[in-house]
Amino acid sequence: MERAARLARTVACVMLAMLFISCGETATSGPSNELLIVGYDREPDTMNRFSTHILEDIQSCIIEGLTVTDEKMQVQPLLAREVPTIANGSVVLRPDGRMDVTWKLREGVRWHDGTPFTSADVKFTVDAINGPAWNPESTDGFDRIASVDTPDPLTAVVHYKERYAAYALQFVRGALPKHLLEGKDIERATEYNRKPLGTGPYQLKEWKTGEYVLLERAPHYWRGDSLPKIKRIMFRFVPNTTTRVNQLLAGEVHVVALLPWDRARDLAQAKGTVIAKTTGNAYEHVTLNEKTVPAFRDVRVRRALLMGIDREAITKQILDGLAPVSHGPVQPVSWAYTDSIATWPFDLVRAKALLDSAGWVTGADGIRAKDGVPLRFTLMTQAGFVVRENVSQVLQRQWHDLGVDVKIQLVDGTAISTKWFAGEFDAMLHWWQMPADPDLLLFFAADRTPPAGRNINYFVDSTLTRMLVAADREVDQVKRRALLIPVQQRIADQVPELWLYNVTRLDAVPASLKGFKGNPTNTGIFWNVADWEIRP
Amino acid sequence: MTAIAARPPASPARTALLLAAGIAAVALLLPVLAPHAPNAIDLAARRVGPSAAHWFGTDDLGRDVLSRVLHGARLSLFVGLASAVVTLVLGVGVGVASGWRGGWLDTLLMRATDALLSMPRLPLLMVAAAILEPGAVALAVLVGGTGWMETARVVRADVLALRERAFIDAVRASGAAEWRILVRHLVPNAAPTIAVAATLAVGRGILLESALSFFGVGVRPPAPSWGNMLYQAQQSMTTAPWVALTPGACIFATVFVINALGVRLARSGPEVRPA
Amino acid sequence: MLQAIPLLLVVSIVGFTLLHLVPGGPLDVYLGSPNVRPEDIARLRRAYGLDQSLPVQYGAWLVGFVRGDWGYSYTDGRPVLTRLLERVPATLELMVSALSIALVVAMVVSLWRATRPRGAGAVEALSVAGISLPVFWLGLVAQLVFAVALRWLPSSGRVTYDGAGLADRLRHLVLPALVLATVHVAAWTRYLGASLDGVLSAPWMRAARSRGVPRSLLMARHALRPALLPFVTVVLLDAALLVSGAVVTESVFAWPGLGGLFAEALARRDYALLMAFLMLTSTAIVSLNLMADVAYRWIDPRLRAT
Repeated sequence: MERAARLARTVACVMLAMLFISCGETATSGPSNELLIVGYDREPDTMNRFSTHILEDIQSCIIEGLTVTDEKMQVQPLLAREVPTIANGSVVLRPDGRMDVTWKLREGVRWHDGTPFTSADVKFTVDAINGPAWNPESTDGFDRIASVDTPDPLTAVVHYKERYAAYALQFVRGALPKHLLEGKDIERATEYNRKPLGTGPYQLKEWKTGEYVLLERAPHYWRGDSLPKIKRIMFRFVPNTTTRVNQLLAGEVHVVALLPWDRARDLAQAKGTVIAKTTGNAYEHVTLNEKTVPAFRDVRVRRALLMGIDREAITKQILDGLAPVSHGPVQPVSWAYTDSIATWPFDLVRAKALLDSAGWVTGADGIRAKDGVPLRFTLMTQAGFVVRENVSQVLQRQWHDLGVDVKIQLVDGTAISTKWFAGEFDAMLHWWQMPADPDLLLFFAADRTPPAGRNINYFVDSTLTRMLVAADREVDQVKRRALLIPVQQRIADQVPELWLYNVTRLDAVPASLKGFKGNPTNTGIFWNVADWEIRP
Repeated sequence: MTAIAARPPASPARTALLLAAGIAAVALLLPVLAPHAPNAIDLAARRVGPSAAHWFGTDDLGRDVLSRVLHGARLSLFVGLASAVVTLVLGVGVGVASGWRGGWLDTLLMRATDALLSMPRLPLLMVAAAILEPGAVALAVLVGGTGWMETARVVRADVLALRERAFIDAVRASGAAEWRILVRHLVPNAAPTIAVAATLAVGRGILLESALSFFGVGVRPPAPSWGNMLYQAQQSMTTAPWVALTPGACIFATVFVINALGVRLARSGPEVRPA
Repeated sequence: MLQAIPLLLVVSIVGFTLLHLVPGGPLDVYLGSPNVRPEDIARLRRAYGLDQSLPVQYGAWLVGFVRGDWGYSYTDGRPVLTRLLERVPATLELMVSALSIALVVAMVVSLWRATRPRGAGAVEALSVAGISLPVFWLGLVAQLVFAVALRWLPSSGRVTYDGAGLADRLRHLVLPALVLATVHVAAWTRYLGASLDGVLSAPWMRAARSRGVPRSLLMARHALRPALLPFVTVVLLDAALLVSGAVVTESVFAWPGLGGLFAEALARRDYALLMAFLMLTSTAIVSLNLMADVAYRWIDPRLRAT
């Protein structure tokens, strides 16, 4: 026992000493042009922009595209001198349906290792993506490219086999450095995927797995030696949202990226922090599966369900007023958006009358039924996504008032994809991140049910399908918009799905941060990071 | 030890029965006491602190925390206790058989236990979620069926030591039947360890239930359980701490009661009975 | 030790089947992106060999595993072994410190409680609290108190930046290690306490006390040893389970250990990584449980005969 007691005393002393050393005010410093620390929700899988599955926030600081979408989702030239259009003669439509796009590259752009960035890199990228050896996330658009010509180092002519409306975004993810990757297995090019070579304002200094990525300003950025203004940016990976909030409150990070709406209020007490709102190009909605629930095939039922939802109350209360109600699949940030469409505001009386007229009569248990079949379905949504769990319970309650019986089913984030892809659900609460180019065909055309597309409403409307096909074949944006307006009107009238709110991105940033603009696309908010500056 | 000198006279069976009856009564009666409907959403009164209308405040959707805790009691108590029973039956059974018999049976049972311990619990539960309809019984079986291995190993360790004790030899020498030695002498002497295993099983069962709803195996919203209430309260820890306080206190109280009863039961058990 | 190989084989077959039974697959992450088309999915399925039958996939995995080729992660394309090894130092750091703290505290508290019945109530209440509070809760409250309110310690992470020095590492270690230790202390003191009670009330102990053996000697020589068996069992078992990381603690404290990697691998259905975890856990459990059997004989000489 004496020995044990002595041991216990020693251990206690050592522990106290350790606490003594380690306690004391934590050394935290505020945001500065020396260092900006970002609390980020997840670690990237790879720095290769063509392979990654998450938002390209970090990658876009290092690797630049030929074009970039700005905060208004307008396509702007970046490594290209201009965006090719029919008007400036860089897009040529051939009578046989083929199409040529000429990219003029900016002069004087160099990779971070000093090698000039040329059209050969563009050609190499297309060949690598279309080649058999590498499996990028998507080959969309690239598979329509027949070949690339490089008449000179600053010109790349892309020959498309068929027309492709979204050509301007073809190289939004940049290009691969030919001199580094030629002859290498890109699939396993660990060095590039972990420490990519780019042309952007930052280069990767250090990637501590599971902890952080540290970016450091690249020497001689092509836009001028004075850029970027912030020397180093550190992305710390913190999966737990509450921990990220605590980190900001403790002064350990300066930015909390991708803040859930219901957590913004936690940061109200954080001095010097503002919540930056970026209207998104995604929309939260309820998908109604017409294949499994015959009742959804009646437009009156769909309209009644939408009118039975008090969306204003949901966005105001659960989202703390941080995201606006959405009335259709095309979001206000899109060039194709129109607000001259039918909307279906909360109206319990009209909703009930619609269901009555459709033959769904309230039974003794308060649930409506038609021909002995009760109006009942299961609402599937992602487990662990608190806002969705809450919204689904409010929907359940509000539809209950309508006489509709809804069960909630929570499914984990990966299994849910398998289920919706197979069409194994009644209704689903989720969002779509829309491409910068509004590809409505994929989501609403009758023949685009999975696996061919994402029409998981299994919505069949031949009028709409015809209109969608016509719009998809048009390359000229002005003409295309004219075609897409009636499309949106038809969709809003038919209510194939129930629109809830715009997925507005929230980032808690220092009040002293200047130059922040936000971005609604997958490119992320760091697209103009070179212009960011801390100015108290 | 003074506490041991003064043994309570109650027999273990009677105490256990009383406990079961008491908890059943509580679980049945509690929902009656609820001042509000547990799922009545009031978006205008979200995260309101304790008041006359809502004694323990309201949650994220403006529902009365007290009413939800009272309604959640039935499920949480059932899952906690029933899963503990499953854990104890399997754990004590395997542990005693393995420790008492030894030899090839011990090797077989312990390696099987190792194999089950190696199986990651979450994928197992996710597979179950895909096959089973969530319900209280399914939950209890899943939680108990995937959590008895530690109990088995600990009980085995206890039995190994007891087997070599002199009084067991004495009982054996007197020609007592094997089952009688096990039931009358061995298990009662392992009671303190078993009681601890029971306490742990109840606490872990109640908490694991909430983790299960994360994978869609748990109760479906909006049905309340202490575990999922506590889990959801994480969202409003700083802004509405009362949402977590009530379910947390209930879990603590339950585990505390089970622990106290377990300790008493273990001490009231026979220690060395002349055969 | 010979039992270990057939056991690992059985575990790998059952585990492989189980993992593939979990709904979803490694390619599901592609479905959410609208510009990924069915052709892309089919191409990736072929490329990763996911279009082959399960026995064929298992066979390929087993052959590779035996040869030391544990495959490539579906998530980022790097070798599985690389991904595991880079997480080992952080895992060991947290595990060893949490377990040592827990071990010392549990033994000291249990012995103290056994000899001084008056403190028993408080110890019991604290350990019950440790059992009934979820780890994530404990961790977040600790952050709010020590990092946000007092600013004594960093809330999370393992270092401020690489090369920040030993003091910085220690400061980051304190909260996660204490929280992880607390959970184990709660359970361990209960087991050790129960065994000590049992031993102390045994007739031969009472006899020893009446003979006038000093209390401290009584505890160390006579009481502790026989009470250790269940305790050693549960300590070694918990240690074995921690070898593959502490999922919740690591997530709350953004600790870069194996637990976080496991959570990520499970979410992405990264079969190659998950199989490696299965083998790692299994090996740890078998070896530490066999070690426990050896320890029993050392602790209790009577068991050596059998």
